[in-house]
Amino acid sequence: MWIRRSFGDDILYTTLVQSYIDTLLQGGFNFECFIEGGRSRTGKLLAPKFGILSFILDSVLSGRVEDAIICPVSTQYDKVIETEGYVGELLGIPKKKENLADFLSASSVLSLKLGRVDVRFHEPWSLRQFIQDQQFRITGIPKSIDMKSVSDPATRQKLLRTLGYKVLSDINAVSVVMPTALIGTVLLTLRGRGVGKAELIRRVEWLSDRVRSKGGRVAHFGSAPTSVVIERGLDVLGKDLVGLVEGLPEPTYYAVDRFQLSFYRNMTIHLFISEALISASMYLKVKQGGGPDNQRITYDELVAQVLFLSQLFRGEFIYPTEGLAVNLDNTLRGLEADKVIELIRDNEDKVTAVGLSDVERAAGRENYDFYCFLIWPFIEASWLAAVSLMGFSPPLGYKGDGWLDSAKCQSSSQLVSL
Amino acid sequence: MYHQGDLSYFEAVNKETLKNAWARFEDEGIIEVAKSRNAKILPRAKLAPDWTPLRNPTTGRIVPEGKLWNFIERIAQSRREGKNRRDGATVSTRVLRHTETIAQNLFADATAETNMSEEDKILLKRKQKRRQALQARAHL
Repeated sequence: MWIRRSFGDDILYTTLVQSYIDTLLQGGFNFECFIEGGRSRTGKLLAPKFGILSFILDSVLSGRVEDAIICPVSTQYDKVIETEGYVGELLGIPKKKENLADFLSASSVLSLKLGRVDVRFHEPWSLRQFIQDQQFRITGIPKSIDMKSVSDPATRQKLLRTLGYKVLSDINAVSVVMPTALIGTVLLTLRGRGVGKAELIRRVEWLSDRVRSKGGRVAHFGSAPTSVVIERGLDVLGKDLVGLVEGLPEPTYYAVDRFQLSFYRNMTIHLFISEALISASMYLKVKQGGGPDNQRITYDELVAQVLFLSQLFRGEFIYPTEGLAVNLDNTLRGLEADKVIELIRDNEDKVTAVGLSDVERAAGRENYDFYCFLIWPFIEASWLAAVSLMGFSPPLGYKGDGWLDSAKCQSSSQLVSL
Repeated sequence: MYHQGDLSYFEAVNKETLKNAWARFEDEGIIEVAKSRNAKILPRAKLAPDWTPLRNPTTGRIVPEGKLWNFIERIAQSRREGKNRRDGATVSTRVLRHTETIAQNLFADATAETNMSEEDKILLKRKQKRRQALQARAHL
């Protein structure tokens, strides 16, 4: 089915698309849609797109369609196809217009070594049942399938959002972290310039454990040992992304193109976002150095900075659904159990301060640094954008009204950064 | 800044992330963005009055103080202290000069056409009222 990219205010067109979808569903046809626009581009988990879902929801709510069965599917590639052209675009090189020649040569992309493709299906569920469950949660009246009651736009909107996030979280529940994402994450969270093979294997195994303990899944390696899986992953990434220093006692790998590798790191970041925000918040004391007492942060200070950062990045990441404030204490306890941090409690067992644990210190802050390295590039980018705003204070004696071309302002932020 | 060692991550030179940051700043009311009904007029931006840093009346230089400066410092607290980054109090002032110079060109380029028509001013007022009514701000 072909449809326009944007409908604008065209009521007739919207109605037409609605009846397309009604007809498809009434006929019992399968219907595939991608609600996760954009993930393939930066690798990051993004908010769902509600457009098509809204039509499907309407088909069932209106009673024109009895039910629709939803099957969330996750499709992942070892290699992020688009990176090269996209990197240029992100660095400010204008996007080339698509043309036939490029389209034909894009077929060469398809014969590229993309590594492994992983497709997984979530157990399908009934949309009708989902709506009933939601209604029950709100009204407490079971099974009163009164679809008409969802005529109120606010209720409908809420239902749609819940639906979108449910599909998204189902996709995530079945999706796996690919070996290339593990390698990319390890290479971008190192303190040193490169990493020896043995250490790379150790870090990838460590990260796989972390992913699993956060409820994520790691692509099944079969019976192959980690070293073989890494070998294959490095092959897929290619030497333009990961370099090998030869002539050393041990093969040593380093990140050649940090920018492209960041897309691979982005595939794991959502799993650790709470830990990363806490670590970066603790950093305002940790960076001062000195003894453990000096590096400890009070609980209130920590909470304030975590909230500040999470607001700052609320367009950048999807946070755990229970909300970061609620999630904060769980994450702190998790980090304590992992012996990364120590929580100082008062007589009433209330946490008053947070610091690095002795174990973590002895281990060279390995875990703590990992979490910080995940978020630091984003902090840096926000800092940069904010700094560039300072310049937009009109010069003394300036005659204009102070309005500037918005796009030019943004590219000047980018210019400042270079 | 990256090339002069004031920025640790080349990744920070990322249009997508900068765009996200701008969207956030607009949400917070740090910058005002005005879109015109006239498609030929590009969207324009301006610092909100209470976020605009002052200039030294004699030198004309931006004074590193005020709401926006505090906001920057707050982000900077969680920023990586780099071994290979030039840090300390001077860094912020040097960086400030840098952004000042670049923005200067924008003000020089801004001509009468970027000034707002009366119709657009009304449109902006309405948008701001709506925004205030929504009260979706996070109060950073």
